[in-house]
Amino acid sequence: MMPVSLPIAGNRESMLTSIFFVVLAASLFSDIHLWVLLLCLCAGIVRGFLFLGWYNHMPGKRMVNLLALLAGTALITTSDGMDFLHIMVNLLLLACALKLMLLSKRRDFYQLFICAIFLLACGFIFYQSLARTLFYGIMFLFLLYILLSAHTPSSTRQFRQKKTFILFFQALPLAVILFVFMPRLPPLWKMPEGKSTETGLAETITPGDIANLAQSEKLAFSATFSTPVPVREQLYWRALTLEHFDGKSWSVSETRQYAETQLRYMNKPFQPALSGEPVRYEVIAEPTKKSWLFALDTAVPDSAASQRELWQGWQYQLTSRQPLFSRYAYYVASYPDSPRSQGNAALDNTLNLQVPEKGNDKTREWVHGLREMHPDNPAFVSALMRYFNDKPFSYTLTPPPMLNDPVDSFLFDHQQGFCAHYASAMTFALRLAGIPARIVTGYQGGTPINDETVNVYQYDAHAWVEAKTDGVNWQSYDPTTMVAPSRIFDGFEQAARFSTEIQGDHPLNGISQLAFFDALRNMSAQMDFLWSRWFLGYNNDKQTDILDRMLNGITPLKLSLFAAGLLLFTGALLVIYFVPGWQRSHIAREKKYYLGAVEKLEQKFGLQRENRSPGQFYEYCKHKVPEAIANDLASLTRLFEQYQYHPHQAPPVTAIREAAKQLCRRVRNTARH
Amino acid sequence: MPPDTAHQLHHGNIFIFPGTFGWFYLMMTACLFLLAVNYQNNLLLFLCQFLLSLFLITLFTAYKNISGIRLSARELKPVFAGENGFMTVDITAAEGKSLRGLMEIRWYGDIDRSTLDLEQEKKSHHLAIQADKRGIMRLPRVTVTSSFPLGLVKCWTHPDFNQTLLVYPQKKPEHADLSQWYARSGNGKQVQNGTDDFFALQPWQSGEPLNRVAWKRVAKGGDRVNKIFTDQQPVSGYLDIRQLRTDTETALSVLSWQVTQLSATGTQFGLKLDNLVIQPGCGQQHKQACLKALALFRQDTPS
Repeated sequence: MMPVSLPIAGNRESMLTSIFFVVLAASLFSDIHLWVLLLCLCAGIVRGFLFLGWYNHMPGKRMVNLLALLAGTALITTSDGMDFLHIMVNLLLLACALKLMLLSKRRDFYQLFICAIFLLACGFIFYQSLARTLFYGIMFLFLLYILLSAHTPSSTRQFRQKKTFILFFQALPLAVILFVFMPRLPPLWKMPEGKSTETGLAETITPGDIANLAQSEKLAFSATFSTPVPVREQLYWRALTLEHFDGKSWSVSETRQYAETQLRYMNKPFQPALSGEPVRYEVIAEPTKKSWLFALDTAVPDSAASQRELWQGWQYQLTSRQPLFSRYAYYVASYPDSPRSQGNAALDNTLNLQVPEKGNDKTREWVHGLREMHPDNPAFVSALMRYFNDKPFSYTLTPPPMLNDPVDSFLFDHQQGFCAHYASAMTFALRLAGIPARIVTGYQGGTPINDETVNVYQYDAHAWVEAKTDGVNWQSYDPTTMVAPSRIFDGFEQAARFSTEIQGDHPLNGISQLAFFDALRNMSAQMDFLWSRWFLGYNNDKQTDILDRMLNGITPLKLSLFAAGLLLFTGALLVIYFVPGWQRSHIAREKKYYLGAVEKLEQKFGLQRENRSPGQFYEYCKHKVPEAIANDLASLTRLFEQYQYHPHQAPPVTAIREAAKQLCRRVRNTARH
Repeated sequence: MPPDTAHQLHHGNIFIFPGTFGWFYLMMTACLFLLAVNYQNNLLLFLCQFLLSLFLITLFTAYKNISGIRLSARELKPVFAGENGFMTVDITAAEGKSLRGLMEIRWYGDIDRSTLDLEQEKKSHHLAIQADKRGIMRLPRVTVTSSFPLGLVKCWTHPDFNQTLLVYPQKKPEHADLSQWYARSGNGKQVQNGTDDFFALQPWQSGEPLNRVAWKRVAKGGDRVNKIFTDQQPVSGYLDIRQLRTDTETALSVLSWQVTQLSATGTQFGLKLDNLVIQPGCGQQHKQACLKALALFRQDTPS
């Protein structure tokens, strides 16, 4: 049992705990307020001073309480717009920092340990990359070490380190067994969507605003195909359909959302008609805190678990039933050849012909004229696309702001923009001409990291147009291709690197040109992908798959036998750990050396030590063996006795080994008397 | 667990249960599990499962650490009532194993805790117990607790060391009329007032020389008393309980003090307690026999 009160000065565990918290706070730097981090640092410094004995007065309880009150108020006033989890992490760190200053009791120490584990867990919610996981794993080991040290105050450091590792590696196999085979539970309640941290996609786009297109190099998702990977220009990953236009911004239609909610409530998912050959793949999506998912048209869930967890929307869109707070893996089959003709036609047409009553007058006039020239729908669409090609339009990530009548100023004044500008202008024009049209946002393309896997990054975000040109089927058009074909055919990364069409700052400029860096980046992408696929994306499907393969078909009998087997295996593991017979005997090294040498001597000269003490044995042998051997035995006996009776001033154990070896050698080389 | 002076700890006498910290740890694991399930976060799920496995492992480690340990009690030295008796518990590791961690040893049901670091040189612990009444005191069980390695689980045992504490009557100084009393007590020689050794205190009467007054006592606010010195001479006699006209307990207290005093001066004396007569003698053994007789006088359950 740890003593109830801990000493203050020189208490190693308190100091280590403070170091732990400072490092942890620093690692959560981007999730906490700067002042919380500073407070943690202060607590660490206070602890350091107390530890070294430079300062002997602990901060008073009253003072710390006052500080807590102040900090609490500050937290409330500065946390506007933060989500619940982040506020909790801040609060927890704050409490821990204050507790650190007061740490003097066993209870405080335990409380800090519990909080530390919680904070580590929050770290796992915020960050799931391989590197972060390793970092937090090491932090966890450190924490275990501190806890163990508190319970073994006078052990050597080596013992504590060894014991920590032993505990860690004994628990690891059990945890892995649990992880792989324990049945998985679905979420117990629906979590509210959080604020998306990534800027690649949004539910509202305002093309005229100052360009805020994501220039983020972060991964959005990876897709692993089990059928051949389609060519890049076919990789249009649909995420959201924007159907409402207010003259400036495109957003998800409220009517549509309401209808979806109703259908979901009635549990009437959309069942699209499918034709042609499917493309099958698994998507591992990065956490977005939103429920939209990414898939190629026309997508349906492709596994039992995915069918359970995904919702098929009536606008050909897949969503998850739970917002993505962690990496999420799902299986999809896409049928690119199926016509997209289903859906609620009346609702679709009403929503997708909607235009604001006023504004963008020049466009209205121009479309009116163009429509008169091309009354035929396909001809009108071609004319529109041609317009982008013929006029001096250019693709740029930093277009000038277009605040009033953005479509007018884009089409006729500036004529430069990125995908959202083109898609917005084209959809608006189509609607004015009486063709139902909408904007689809998502990602285009992706970077292959091996033969079957494509990584899609935030900078691959894209917007394109879907229109019912023939009045029945939805067809996709991408006006951006007219202006910047390399964006589609070579991918954003290539386009950014080699094309002059794209200007402006981009994270890839410059740095990507180093081949070494490129290779490194590719390797880390590969590692992270494997990590996501086999650990973070491990789910019900994969569990079932593993069981199926191990059992060769799942039946209840086999399953229960398997469970019993697992229990037995776990029991056996514990037996190996803890039953002494399995472990090497604990006979001390010096005894082993001594006894080994004595045995050789006994065999060679037919002597019996029986229960003589080493000293007595030497006296007994002295005259029965050659003198040289007797001398060796004398020195071995002396060393051994010293080691046994005065362990603190004894020679190192290696000296005994040397003496024993020397004796054995001489015994071997001596002819029998 | 049957009483015995030594106990070897094994699965039959060790109790294992999570301590307060252990329960909080499990609660936290449950909370994390909820978070993990709702966020569908595999890392978090794995952390929970790891914490759970670790708990299981510490359960076994804790048991293994404490099992095989031998606890033995040394016989206790008798004390006077009102003093503290000390029981020394020796802790020996099992063959080939070393003692690890901290151990808490206390009387069963006592809140006073003290911890013993098993990895230090000293592997024995003194447990104090207050002796209130004369006689033989049966010592309560002892609670030995260890929470190695992580404090999550407590391993404890309640050995009964089958020890008794002999408690002598409390000493009560009283020597009214010592010399007279000696005169009357049969074949004893009279105490000769002399100058060599301090013997006892007597009330001061006016007219007596002031150089023998115990001024220290006066300074503390007491009455004036004379220090009486005796010359070294063999004195022999019996201390008799019937001579003291007070209740038994007070008489025993007085006798207890007198036995100690007389032994300190090397006087030959005997003891008469109703039917029990101890022949005059001196020395440590004689003193202990007398004190023991006093302790057990008219005790219902002598053992």
